[in-house]
Amino acid sequence: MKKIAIFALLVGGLSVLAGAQTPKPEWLSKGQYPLTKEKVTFNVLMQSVPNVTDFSTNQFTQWLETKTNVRLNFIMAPYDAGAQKEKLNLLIAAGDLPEILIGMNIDASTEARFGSEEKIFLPLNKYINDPKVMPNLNAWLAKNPTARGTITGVDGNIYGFPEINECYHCSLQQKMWINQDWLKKLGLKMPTTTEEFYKVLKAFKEKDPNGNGKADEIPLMGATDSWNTQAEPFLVSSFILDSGMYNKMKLLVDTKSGKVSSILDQTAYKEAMKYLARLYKEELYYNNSITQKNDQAKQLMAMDPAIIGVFPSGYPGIMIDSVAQNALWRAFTILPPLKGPNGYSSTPLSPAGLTPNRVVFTKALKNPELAARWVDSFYSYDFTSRKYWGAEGTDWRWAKPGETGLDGKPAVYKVLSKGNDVQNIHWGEGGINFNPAAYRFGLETTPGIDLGSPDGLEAMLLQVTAKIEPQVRKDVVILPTVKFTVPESEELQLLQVELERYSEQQRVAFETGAQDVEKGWAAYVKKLNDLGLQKFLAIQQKAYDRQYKAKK
Amino acid sequence: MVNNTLSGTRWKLVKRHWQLYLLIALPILWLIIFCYVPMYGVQLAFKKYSISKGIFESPWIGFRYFEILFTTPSGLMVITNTLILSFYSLIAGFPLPIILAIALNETRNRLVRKSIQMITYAPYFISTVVLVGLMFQVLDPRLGIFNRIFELLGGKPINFMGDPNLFSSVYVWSGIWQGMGYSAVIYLAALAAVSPELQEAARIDGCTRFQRIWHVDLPGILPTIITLLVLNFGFVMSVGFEKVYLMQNPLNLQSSEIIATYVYKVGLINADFAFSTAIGLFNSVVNVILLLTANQIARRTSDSGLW
Amino acid sequence: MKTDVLFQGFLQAFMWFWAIVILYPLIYVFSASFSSPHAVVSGQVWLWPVEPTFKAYEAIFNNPQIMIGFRNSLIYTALGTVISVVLTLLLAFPLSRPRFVGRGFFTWMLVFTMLFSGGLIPTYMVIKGLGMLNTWWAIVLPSALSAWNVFIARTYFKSLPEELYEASTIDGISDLGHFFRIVLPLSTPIVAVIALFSAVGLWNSYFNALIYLSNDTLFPLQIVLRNILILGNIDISMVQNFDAMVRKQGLSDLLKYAVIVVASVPVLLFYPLIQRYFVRGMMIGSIKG
Repeated sequence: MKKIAIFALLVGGLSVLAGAQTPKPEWLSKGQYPLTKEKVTFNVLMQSVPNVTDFSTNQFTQWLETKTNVRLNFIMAPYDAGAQKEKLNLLIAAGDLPEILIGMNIDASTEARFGSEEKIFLPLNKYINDPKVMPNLNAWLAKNPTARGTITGVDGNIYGFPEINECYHCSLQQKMWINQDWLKKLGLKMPTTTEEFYKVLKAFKEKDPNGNGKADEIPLMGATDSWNTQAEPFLVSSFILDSGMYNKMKLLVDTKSGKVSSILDQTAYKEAMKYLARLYKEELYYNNSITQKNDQAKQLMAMDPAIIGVFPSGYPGIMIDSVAQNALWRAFTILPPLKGPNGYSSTPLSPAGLTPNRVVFTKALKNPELAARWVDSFYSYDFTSRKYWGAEGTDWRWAKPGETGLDGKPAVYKVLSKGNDVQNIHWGEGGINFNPAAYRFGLETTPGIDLGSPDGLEAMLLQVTAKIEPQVRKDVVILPTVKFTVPESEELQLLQVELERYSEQQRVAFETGAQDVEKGWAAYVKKLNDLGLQKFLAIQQKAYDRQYKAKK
Repeated sequence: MVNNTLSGTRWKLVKRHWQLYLLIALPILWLIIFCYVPMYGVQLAFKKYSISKGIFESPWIGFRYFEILFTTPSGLMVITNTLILSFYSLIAGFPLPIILAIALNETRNRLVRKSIQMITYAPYFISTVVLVGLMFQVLDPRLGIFNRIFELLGGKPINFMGDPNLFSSVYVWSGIWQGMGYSAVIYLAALAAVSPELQEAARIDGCTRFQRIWHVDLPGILPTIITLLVLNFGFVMSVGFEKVYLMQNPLNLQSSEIIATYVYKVGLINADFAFSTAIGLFNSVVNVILLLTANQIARRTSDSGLW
Repeated sequence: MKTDVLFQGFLQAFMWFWAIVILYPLIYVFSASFSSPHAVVSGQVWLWPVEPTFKAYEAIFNNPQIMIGFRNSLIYTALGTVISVVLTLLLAFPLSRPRFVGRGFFTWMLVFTMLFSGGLIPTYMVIKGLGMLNTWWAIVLPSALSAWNVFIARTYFKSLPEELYEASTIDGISDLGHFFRIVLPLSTPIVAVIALFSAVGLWNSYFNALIYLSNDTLFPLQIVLRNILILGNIDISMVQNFDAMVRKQGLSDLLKYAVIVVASVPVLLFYPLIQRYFVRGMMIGSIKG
């Protein structure tokens, strides 16, 4: 093992940057069309997509039917995951099992329950492994060998076809943005260590960088509820790799030994807490960051003159409007991960790119092989372009020689129509998505596009993400998606609710100074263990070994 | 012999009032079909639910789900928090709509009365998400209007959303803000039905307004007040999930984790329906006890209750 | 007399205080729905719309489903309200009669359903068994009776003077006749309240529609609006269509407010209609006499 699925994805993405590409697309559908002589109908439970008016009359649906001779009988499921789950459960309980589920957000525990436990989902290994049935998916998995671990269930079967969406900038989504105009104005260098950062924040607070004569500046601000808008994970990562605001248990794997651990009880985390407490106490870190929502952060961001020095988020558009506040938008640039007192630095590499179980077959399906061939068609640039953009020739076309993509390499396709918010031409983000990095980078883009313009967003994100990528650590990675048996996940969930609540409460207590770090630490670690941290880790370790060790 | 006569009279009454049974037949049929037939689902609280086997064939697991709630380290805390929110809402929120209704009823200017009625009724239609969004906005320490006024008066800004001691107050008073006008509707209707003759008589007797309200209006709507009060006790454990969940943050968790949010966090896994059914059953049992007690007290003190 | 002035002042102050405290956020919601997204986000909107725009309303009313949603919601609300009111009154009246044998039993039967429920799956099976999936009935029937409303109505009926009933008996009027000819005409306020509560509940409900309906043409307004609301969501990891994203930016903030306005105006307008019935139909004295 030692090698994690995510690495493969990233390397896959970067190889595109490195190697020259022919304009001829790499992934084209390989099936014999139509797929069947006699028309076949599938009952499909499909997640609604807000901007598609009606799937059954949709233009892409019609094209798809003509091309493949497969007709779809849609049962629409709600868009949001909670209601979707209710609908699926009710359909199954009432005996109205659909044949194929698409986009139903089948998580690992649902998979374990309906797959290996209740045998409602069909195992798909035999179709995936057969290059005659699924030539494209099979080839893609051969190129990305570690992806197999991610999509395999607890019993060794694969119950779902994955969604492939290699969003390079999302794989390094923990980003901090700093006002470079302020740095310039105060004659400061871009900080590289936590101490330098502390000094920069102090200067932001005290030296009136917005020049209105008032000490109204907020050096560093975060928010609780939007995409990577909490500041703590970025700061903690200068002491020990923090997996980000969405992974509250902060689990890591040592790449050499394969040992699973949590940073919550480690000394480096304790040091990080002291640093956070210092920023909080001196009000360099806006104290309300721990409670405010992104709506308030946006308002503070929009103050005139600007009062924010540094803020975290997956992309700055979450807090700044790139059109209405374009000057401010341009003022902010990426703050690369900082080195801690021991020279440690890190940034989490997220397992973005591959989502298991985008398509699931149920035992009601009469012709699984045909369905598998049909699904495989979607893992191609031609199907994906039609699905996402619409008709070839009117909504998009293949790139011509000389046209370049986002990354400056030859483009793959060019978009012709900007489309409407609500339409019935394509499926948009619905259905089976196949967007490998090469495809995303292959979008025809004007060379030398202004990175500060709204249209330059993706190119800008590409550039700044490349800057933080060298900070990804090799010795330790965040725990990839791990799957649990039904009894395991029951036990785990009960422990997790308690552990998460306690560690979060205690984190803010340390941070705000309500509890002194040095004095409170021992009791904190003891309480974590009382709440079952070690048991929790043992279950994670067991599941991780089962899923990834065997696959290598 | 005595028994015979008694059942005899009863039977006579039944025969005499057979038309009442005709009236009640349809709603009772509805109750049976839509409430009692599905009631078999309650057994899920004691079963390990297997969706392919169905509710009846799923294996029994006894009191396991109840054990989870009682043995989990935070079990007591979530139950206490739920009760605090509930009783606080009841004590603070119950009398206000009555006062509002009386105030509106006493307002002679029709335009003013109707406008205020309409305004106070409107917030009921604001969705929870937007309501919580407005709360964060209004109560923000730096941006919010509340703290700005407070600062003008020389106070220090308060972080309402981050203080565990203020959590229940913020929750309850925002709830009153949203629901008071809507709840007042029922009292307005009841006040409209208070006998005009009694009102008239009181006026002729030279009663002050206060006396009139105290001796005529309030007794007139007292049965409604008692009915609603007793009914409210039947919902004590049923504190909704969405608003609390949206208001939660690490600083207030010690008072904002309630049964509903705990079940949400745990129940998203396999147990799903079964675990939430069990917790629902526990809540129901507590609600029954409270309702019976409230009803008993109401009967003792005012001679009226639900039954 | 002095205390009376004080008391009167207290009532007025209480009422005006809440009216103002409630009015301000309402105006804010209304104004925000008409302002530019940037003005809302940056906190420039205080009272009146800033940089007025109809963008959010355009997004809502350009949706082909919105009119269907309106129509469906009107049907569900109207039909459901009638059914609810009828069932509620039919149940409440006998329960209010002291001589009604089995009153305790039926009351308990009702209270029990308020406290215990079989849960989603069995209810779904019942709806399915009755062949109501994907029909109007799945929306208007399962929520028709609420114990709460029945008790409100029963309390009201109980408060009617017993002499009315005795008068009916002397005149040889049957129970049915008494209910329809004497009780109902005197009960307009309570009928109005129950109609209002049912209508509001039906108008606001979406969960039943989400679960029992899978045909777009049957969706009520609330579902359509929820779908529109989601339009403003951006999943940045999926974004390849930047024009669409830039268009969407900020729209969700506006939609949030505009959706409230669109969804609540009809029920708000319903209220004054109902208010007119908050007077007792006839003077009780006139009947007694």
